Amino acid sequence: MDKASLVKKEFLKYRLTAETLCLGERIRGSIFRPCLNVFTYTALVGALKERFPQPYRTLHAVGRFVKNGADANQRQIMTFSPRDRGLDISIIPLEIEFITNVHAHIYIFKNDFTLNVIPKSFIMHLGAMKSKGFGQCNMEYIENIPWDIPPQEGKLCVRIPEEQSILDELGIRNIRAPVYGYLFRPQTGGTGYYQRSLFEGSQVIAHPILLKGGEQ
Amino acid sequence: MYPEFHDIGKLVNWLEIGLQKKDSKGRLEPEPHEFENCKAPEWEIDFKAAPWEIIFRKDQQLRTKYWKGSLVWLWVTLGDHLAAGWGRTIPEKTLPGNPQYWTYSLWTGFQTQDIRLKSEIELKDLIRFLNQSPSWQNLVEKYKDKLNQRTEIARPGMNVTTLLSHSIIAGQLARVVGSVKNHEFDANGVWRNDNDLKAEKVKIIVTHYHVGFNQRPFRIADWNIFTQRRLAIQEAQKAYADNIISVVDNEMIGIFADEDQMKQFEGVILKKGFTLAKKQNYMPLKEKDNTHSKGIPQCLQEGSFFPVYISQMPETISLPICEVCQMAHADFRWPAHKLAQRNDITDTARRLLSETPWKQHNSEDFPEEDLEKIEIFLNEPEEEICAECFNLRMNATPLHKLHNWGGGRVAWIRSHLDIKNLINALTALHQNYIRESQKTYNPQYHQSQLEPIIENMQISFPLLVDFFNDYTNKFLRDLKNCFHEKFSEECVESVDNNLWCIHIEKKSDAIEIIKIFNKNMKNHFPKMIDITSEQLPCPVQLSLSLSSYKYPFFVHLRFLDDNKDDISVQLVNSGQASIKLPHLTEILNALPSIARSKLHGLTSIAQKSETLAKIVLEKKEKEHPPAVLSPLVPNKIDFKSLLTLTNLMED
Repeated sequence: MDKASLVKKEFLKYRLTAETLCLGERIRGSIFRPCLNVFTYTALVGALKERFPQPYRTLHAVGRFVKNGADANQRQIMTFSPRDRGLDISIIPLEIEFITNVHAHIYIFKNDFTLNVIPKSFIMHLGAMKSKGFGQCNMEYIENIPWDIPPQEGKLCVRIPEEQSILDELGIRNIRAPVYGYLFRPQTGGTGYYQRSLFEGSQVIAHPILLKGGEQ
Repeated sequence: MYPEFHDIGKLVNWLEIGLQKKDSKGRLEPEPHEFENCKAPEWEIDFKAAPWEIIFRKDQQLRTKYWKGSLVWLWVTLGDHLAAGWGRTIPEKTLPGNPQYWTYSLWTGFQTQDIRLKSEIELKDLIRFLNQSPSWQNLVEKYKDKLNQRTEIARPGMNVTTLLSHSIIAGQLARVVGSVKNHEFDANGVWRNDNDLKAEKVKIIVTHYHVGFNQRPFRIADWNIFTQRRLAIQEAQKAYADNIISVVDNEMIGIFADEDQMKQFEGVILKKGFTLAKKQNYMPLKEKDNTHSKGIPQCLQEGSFFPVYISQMPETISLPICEVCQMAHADFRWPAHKLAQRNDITDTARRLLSETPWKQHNSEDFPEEDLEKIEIFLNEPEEEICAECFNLRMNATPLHKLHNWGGGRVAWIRSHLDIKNLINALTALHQNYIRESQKTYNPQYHQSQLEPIIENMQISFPLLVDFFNDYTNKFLRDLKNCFHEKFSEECVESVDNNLWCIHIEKKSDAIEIIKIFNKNMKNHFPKMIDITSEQLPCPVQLSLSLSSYKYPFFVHLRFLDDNKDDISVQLVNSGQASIKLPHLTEILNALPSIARSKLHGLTSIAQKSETLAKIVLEKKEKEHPPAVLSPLVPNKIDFKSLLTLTNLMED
């Protein structure tokens, strides 16, 4: 029997705080890079895997922004002018939108790997512009959330690849009306592909942590 | 078939002509608007002419004689009932009183004139005209004013819908109902299979669409997407003239006989690269005289919007993905492929553009004759885009004015019509009007008898159409003209019918824009302002976002699309304001006498406790009158919003 299956199905709930976070949309040539107001599964799992690099272990995570006073999760725009080092000139300025005073909750699917390897408190780097100091996130464990609580119908508040194993582990039981988009899935060798995904606003029957207004 | 003709007899003043008689007790018999008193030969009706089959739809004798086996009469009756809705289900004696043949506008409070045909000569002229089997368009040309002024239902309190809108909608509904497959009516309009009726198997589909786009218009090259969308909507409306019963802004309301027809229509929009979000409801098709539990407006209020996809989306997309919509593989490079398609450049240039990576292009590589046409694009970043986004950009009509301004300040303005709020507001206005009419024309009728009847009343769809026409053809037109008058045409870029960008000199010009909106609201929808409240938000809303010219348009658009209040204002980097329409005039009048310095401290306190800020304010204004702020904040506007407005006043 798989060792992971012996672990009771739960989510490990963490508090994420960060000074700035840039969940940039993947637009390369444009002059403006907007910031998402939801977490993508791929960005979160990517950041966690980078922090705890065990490529062959399963890891699922989702997150949602939470209210924490009037100043939390405010959007701002920064103008950034990347330099072409070869020509030693500034190229077209890029305007980057980012979130300040970030407060969020992250739910990591509990298995023997996440339970034993991920500590109660750690720092990870999430999102874009990490080299400029964005996205340094402090993670603090809060509590365990049961996985098998009754699912509810509502609108999704995260972006999740439409892959059966991911949907099952995260507690999405039924997709009533999808809102589709595509999320980047990296592959070895610096390449990757885009996978059809459920975007925020999809009508689903799922664990309440995935639904708008569903957090306890 | 033109079912639109079904109520054409309502254009005639039958009493004045002497064809509406009184009974022995001196009471008027029902108005003979179905030409029932004109069947004699001296009126010279040519029963073989197409309109008469529709007008005499209830006359079984004539049906048997002239149109045996035809079910046109049934489609027309059903279309008529579906269009009239709730009003048709109320028995005459329930809302008694003398008929009111003019149309009362619920949102302006004005009423039209009774200009029906009053003489026998005019009636005979109408009959001769109908004998020629004119098209509906021909008839509208001849009688448009009369159709616009005569109301559909003349009972006191119900005279709120124009005959023109009712006739058009009934016509569209009748044709769609007539195309419903699997219907099992016999020649008398009776269902052959009673089980189908009970199971409500035969139904028409009522849909409400939002037409949007995946594209994120960051760059001027993409802003024409609004024009493209408008053209796509117009084209689809033309192709599905019976199904699309209304278009307002980027919203379409449709009725379909079956899912196949609906999907075909959706394909037309989706294939053009636009997105559709849809709300869908079924309206069971009952027997000819049955009343319907819910009408089209009620269908529009139920359910949620969800995206429509043309087919199953691909599970994966290989790199590169379209940078604009991120929903398809990018097969094109912009601007290289655009330039390569130009006819006025040499083959050498075309080959270079197609084959060489964009970053490696050097102006010296191109033939001199091509340079002038290509050089300005060489500094642009390259984008990889999909075929749909490429085609949309290729059809671009540049926004010349915006491009020429080059700098300064711009205000982005959007007028938004919320259909759900509109239905609620019109229902409340109609209820009020029925109450007032009954008080005036039928004083003995007791309020307690009336309230249970109007409690669950439903407005008719043609009433919504009348409002849409006023909103689009009068309100938005006047708003735009006022912007042109105030800021000059050169400074106003019309991005869409309801979306403008205005080049302004000073921040306080934003206040002028709000004043213009307020003035037009008072002119066009004064009654709407009167009933607007927390529970009944105003259906017409304004969003205004102000910044320097260079500020990303995408951020403005996100704000403009997210209406939070009757009037939402964003002054980039300085704050936002939410204003309720009923308080707008008072706030605008008070603004010049408000010192911003007074508000800073109070706004800081209000961030912690609005009640405390109110106490501090009242104390201050009591000690140092006059009381300028306390009548306004926080009951009519919050501290932060007022601070933002005062920021606009100081240039």
